Amino acid sequence: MADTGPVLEIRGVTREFGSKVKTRVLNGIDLQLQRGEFSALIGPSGSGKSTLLNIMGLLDRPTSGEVRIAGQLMTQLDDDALTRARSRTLGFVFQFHHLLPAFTALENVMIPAWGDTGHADARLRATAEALLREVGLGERIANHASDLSGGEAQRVAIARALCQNPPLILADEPTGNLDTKSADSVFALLRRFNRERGTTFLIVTHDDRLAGRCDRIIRLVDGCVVSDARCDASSRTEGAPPAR
Amino acid sequence: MSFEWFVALRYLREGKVQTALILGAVSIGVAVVVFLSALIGGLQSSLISKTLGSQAHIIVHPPDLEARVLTKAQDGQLIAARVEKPSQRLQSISGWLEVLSDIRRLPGVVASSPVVSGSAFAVRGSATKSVALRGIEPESFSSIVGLAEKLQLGRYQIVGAEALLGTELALDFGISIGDKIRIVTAPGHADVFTVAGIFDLGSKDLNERLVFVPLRSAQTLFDLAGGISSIELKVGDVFAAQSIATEVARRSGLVADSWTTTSPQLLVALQSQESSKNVILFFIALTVALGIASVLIVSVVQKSREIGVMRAVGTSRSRILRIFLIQGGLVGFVGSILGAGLGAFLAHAFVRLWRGADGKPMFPLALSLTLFLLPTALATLVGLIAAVAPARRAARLDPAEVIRYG
Repeated sequence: MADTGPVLEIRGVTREFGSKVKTRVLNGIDLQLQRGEFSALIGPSGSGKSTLLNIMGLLDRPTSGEVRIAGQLMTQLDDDALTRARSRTLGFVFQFHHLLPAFTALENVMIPAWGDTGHADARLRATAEALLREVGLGERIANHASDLSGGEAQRVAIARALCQNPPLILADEPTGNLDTKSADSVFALLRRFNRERGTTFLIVTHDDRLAGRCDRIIRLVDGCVVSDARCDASSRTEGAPPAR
Repeated sequence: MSFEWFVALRYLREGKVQTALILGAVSIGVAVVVFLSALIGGLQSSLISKTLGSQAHIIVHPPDLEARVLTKAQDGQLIAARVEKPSQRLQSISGWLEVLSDIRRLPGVVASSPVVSGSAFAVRGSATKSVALRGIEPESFSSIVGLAEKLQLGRYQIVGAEALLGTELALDFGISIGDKIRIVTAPGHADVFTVAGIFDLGSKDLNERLVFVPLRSAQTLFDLAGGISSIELKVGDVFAAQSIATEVARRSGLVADSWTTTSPQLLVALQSQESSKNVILFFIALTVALGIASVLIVSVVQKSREIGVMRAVGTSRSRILRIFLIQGGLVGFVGSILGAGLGAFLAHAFVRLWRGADGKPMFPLALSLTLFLLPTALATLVGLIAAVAPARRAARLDPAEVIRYG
């Protein structure tokens, strides 16, 4: 992975759906995310946020345009290579934590690396345990995901996203399903990992106040980036909990 | 433990009820296969033992005598319009010792014995009976027909002027061990034999007609000094008898009749049993496969979001495929082990419960290691095959789609 240059770079990305009647959801998106950025992607429903997130997360392919992560062109890769790239260069935090309920917290955290290589060694286990301690769940590592509260489950999901130490984490409404206190705690955790590890975060949200606590706000409307603003420290609403 | 095995085992453990139900279905299916195979196999063995146990599997003899067809030397035109088949006389197999030695080396042949056989009359006082006289070497012939076990009275080993008779013939003549009978053959030779043993081959006709005497005595009676009329063979696999007979005939230039040509109805009966067993096996395998496939498809539908998450965070399609194949294979394997045990238990219980008046099992059961290994391998394979469709479905899931919509 290149240390310099953007962590994510997309150029001229379009995405159309439908075969006979084509619907263009993304309309020539150009975007770069630099290392250590903590950005928000906002926009109204139907603006193309999820489609863009899927393309940035290598879960979908653009109709045209390029996607580069850590300098590597991803749009040419086959399915297996994309899967490996997702495991090694990206972390996902979903709105609904999407932990595997039959697995313990520890096993859930290990899944990206375990599913990538096929086996779990002591080093991976130690990394996963350390991450769970970092998110404040050191005592819950052996608990099944189904036994965790929503906030705890989302913390495990954050630890899972960080397990392979990816340069970029994509979070889709990470606090959207949490109560105010848990949401605040989860957001603070994301911020902490961003500062301590230099991991780049892109948070998709409907919530302007949550977006206001990010370093950069990218607004998407009708498949186009209509604004891309950097927030200085004074304009950020750091202390306030994200609005529900 | 590899990721695929771990997830497969965890999913099976998590879906306890589903897993138990499908294991139960596989177990019952395999138990029925094991039990029915043991029962049908036992019935086949019993039938083979009762019918082929008292006869050779292959009889090698000289070809029938044929009349020479007379033709004109120049144009090859037939002189006689009708050529009659000559009456057959007893012929010896020329060079039979070499032929026998060659046949004994053939793979599949487990026993062989030289025999002199022909028609004769048994005379006792004023009573005369037409019999089938067979001259045998008691040692080698015991491997062809287990006469010693079928003896009701006396001893099997016959020497000099001793004979073995069937129970019906002994009853007709009113004779027992140590009594004498006179045997007269077509060439006009006659000899008196002492009854050394009385056998029961399980067939009234055979017990009435067969008389066994030492080979040398039969050679004298039939004017075949030093010769034999046939070689009788036993083969390891009774269903391979025809192919072995063909090979024997090719190598020796003699006629080799296998039991499949001399007793075609028995072959049909055995084949019918085998076919019915295979039909039952097929439908049970199909039922097991459909059961496993349906449970796994339900599992894939239930877990589609989890599969999507695994795919999203870096698990390849092939790993997802293997997770479900392992589940199918494991369910088949474990179910078949349980089923084999259940089948063996049922078989033993069946044998213990249903007994005849003599205390012997009414239904013979043939339990062998193959009977357990084959259904186990088959059920595991069926499980794997049944899992292919659900596994492919799981592997093809679009992660973005299933995470969003489930």
